[in-house]
Amino acid sequence: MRGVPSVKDYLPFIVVGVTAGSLYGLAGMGLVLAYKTSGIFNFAHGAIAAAGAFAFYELHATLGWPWPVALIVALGVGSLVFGLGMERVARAVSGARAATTIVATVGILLFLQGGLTLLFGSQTRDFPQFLPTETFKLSSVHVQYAQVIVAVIGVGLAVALYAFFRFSRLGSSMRAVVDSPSLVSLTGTSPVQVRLIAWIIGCGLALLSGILIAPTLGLDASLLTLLIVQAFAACAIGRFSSLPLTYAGGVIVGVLAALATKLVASTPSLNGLPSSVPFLVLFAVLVLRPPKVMARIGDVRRSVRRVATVPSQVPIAAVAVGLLALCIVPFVVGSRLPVYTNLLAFSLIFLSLGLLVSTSGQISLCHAALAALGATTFSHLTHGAGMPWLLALLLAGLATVPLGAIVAIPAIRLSGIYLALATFGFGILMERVVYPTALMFGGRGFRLAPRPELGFVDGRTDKGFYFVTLAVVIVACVAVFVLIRGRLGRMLRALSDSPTALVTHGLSVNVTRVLVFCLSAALAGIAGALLISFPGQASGVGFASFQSLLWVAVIAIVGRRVLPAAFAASALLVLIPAYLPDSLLQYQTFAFGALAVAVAVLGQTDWRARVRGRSERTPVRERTVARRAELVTS
Amino acid sequence: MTEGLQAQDVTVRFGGSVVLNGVGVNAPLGRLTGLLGPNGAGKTTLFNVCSGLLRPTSGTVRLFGEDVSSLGPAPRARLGLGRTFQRMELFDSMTVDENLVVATEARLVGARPERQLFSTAAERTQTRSAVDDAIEACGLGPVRHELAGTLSTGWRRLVELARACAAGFRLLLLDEPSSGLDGEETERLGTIIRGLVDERGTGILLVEHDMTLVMDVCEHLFVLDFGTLVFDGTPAAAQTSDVVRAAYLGSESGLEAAEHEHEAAEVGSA
Repeated sequence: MRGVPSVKDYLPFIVVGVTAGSLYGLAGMGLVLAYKTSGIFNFAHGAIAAAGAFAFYELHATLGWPWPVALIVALGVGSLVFGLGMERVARAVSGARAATTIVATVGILLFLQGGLTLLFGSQTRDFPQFLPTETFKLSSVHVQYAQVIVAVIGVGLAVALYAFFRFSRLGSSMRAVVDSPSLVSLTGTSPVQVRLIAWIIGCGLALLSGILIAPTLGLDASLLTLLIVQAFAACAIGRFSSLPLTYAGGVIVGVLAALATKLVASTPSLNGLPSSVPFLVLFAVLVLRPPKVMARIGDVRRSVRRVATVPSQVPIAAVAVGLLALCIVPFVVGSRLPVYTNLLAFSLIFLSLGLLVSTSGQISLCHAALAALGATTFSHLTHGAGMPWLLALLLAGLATVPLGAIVAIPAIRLSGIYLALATFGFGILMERVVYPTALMFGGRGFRLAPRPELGFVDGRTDKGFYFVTLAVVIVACVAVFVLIRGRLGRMLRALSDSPTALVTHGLSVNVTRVLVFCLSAALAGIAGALLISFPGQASGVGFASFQSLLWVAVIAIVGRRVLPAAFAASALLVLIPAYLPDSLLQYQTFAFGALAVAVAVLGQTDWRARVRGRSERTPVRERTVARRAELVTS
Repeated sequence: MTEGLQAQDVTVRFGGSVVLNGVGVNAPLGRLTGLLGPNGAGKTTLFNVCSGLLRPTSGTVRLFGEDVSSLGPAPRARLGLGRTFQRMELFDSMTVDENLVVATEARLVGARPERQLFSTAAERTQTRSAVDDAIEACGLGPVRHELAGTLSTGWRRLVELARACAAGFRLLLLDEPSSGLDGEETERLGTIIRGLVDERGTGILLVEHDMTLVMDVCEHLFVLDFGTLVFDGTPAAAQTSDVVRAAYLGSESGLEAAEHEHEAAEVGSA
């Protein structure tokens, strides 16, 4: 097979790539459409596509409806239901900070994916191709009619949508809503209605892409949900604004991934390459072409509410009671002690996430990957290099810092959405490409790590390890407390109020943002080390990229006081399920998703003001700040 | 003349429209310089160019003799250039006192991560005294522990000014500091900024629509019209300049009208 590869060798891959790419482009256009008109970036877009595929499957394969009827019903009903629902959620969180909007749509993702898994189970089902599968010869390649139909639908819709926006009245209202909703409403068009239509079309495109891609991908809720990454990459090429370019971007991603598949066939060491193509494209666009259009955040309505991330007074009594309780736990819980050790280790994960989300308003959707890196580094250092336990623990934390910086630096120059996007893609890339390498979990898929023997306490017993973990958690809590009570905390609060003012007073705010991200990464790394040391071994499964989403949902549910929230979130994720019957465990994703959405939506109402009988939604002063992130570069 | 801020030959184009066309202004230390012009003349755009928030299409900005055209806003602030905003950029969820502390620290720590993490005792003392001085100078004592977001516009303007004072900028760009203030508040503001120039030797470039205030406090005026500099001279000369009159208030004799109003007010209060 060596020698000069001819075009003929590549043609089959290009055909496959264009077909798949058309669907990525369709999904991407739906995403851009809704994002442009509502300002809300929908992380649940892939989950909606999955729901569409399942609905169609039920109607067509299970109930035996003819496919055109099933398609029309699934698309029509689905886009109305999801469009209405998404618009409600988007409207509720529209004035909130970026982190809240991300949590809301990640919550919907979890809710849908959890729900689909509950209904249909988690095994992949075959999804019969319903379009004609007869082939014809194009040059030397057999092409299915289904592939042609899919590509034609993609191109057709891209052209139709482009024309719609350019030439129709509703299309221009949609473009106008992006620039100024209030002006649009002055001209007698309701911005809410315009956005609703955008959401309906956007969700419709998601559903259609899900239904069309399921025959090749198989019917699997989590696989279909991850279709979003390809759509992200398509959007990035379309600069999150141009529909035709987004479609083209989808095709580019599809073709590149297909060509990578061919490359892998001859070079097996590049196994993870095809699935990481979309992420590489996304990252390349963020790094190389940080487009100005992307950075515009639009109108931000904010309220003056003092959100206490740290109390002004230390509640000494509460801290003492908590500490005392944690100290007597090993003597009263008996065989459940491992649950409590996990509780402590996870409280460190949530401390790390809370530090990032609550104080700086940034979000990381790759915390599981950071923790995994901490765990495997710890394994290399102790089990591999024989380093002392405590030193290895610290180094495991330090090792994650450069990784955090690599992800954060390109994305942080832009706005919150792009950090979420970059970290989301990065988490998946790590899981698929780096986890299986010798750098991390290796070919066997797991790593070993010892427990500590620290002279004064023997960590090899469960009780001993519990106290070691407790000590680490206490040190981390004190460190975080000191940091956010001091200068860094002040800077971060000011940053969430007015980055512009902070920059014009001399602070390089991006340094501050990256700094917090790196601190958070270090804590996650230490937590990962504890999570591998306790059971003695760990595999990539516990650090699946999906966990990152779940963790973000959980931390959003419990509130914004960093320290109590860390323990509350950990209790929600680890402790409560341990006391519930196992049969309830399958509802976890679903329930956390629903709760995260509810908290994000309801959190926008100032309930205390409501109780006091005030009519305004925001208590003191409402102001509209046309914020341009492009002005906040330093 | 002490060197301060110099914008030379600044041109800004947004798409096809020319917002600033080869404008040059200078604001030396120890002088209160006014920048006038009707709405849309390009005053705030010029401020954005000077403070580094906006890259001009062409032109240079020099600060204390150094070419800072390629620097971002934060490094320029660290060199000693501060500004306020027409729309007021306060840290709304923080108290007045904290607003000043953060601003002072921001300039102190700049881009160094280790200093963003921790403060030293010496820095805390230094910050404290700078903040106390600024609160004293701007008369913010009564509201220092209130949340900035809950204050009236008059107080907010003063907080923004005090914040810039506390940070110790040698050169200040003030963007319509009196808009939304009543007569008494405006007078107090005038006294404060005059004091900054006379006592601290600060250089100030002031965008202002309140003619009375401008004529009272400024030593030198620049007038912009449709992105072009139409006048560069003393307030007295501006009052008799036909170009300024035409640019600023069309055919009406605006500056004179403002003067008359001022006199009437003085007569009224006497």
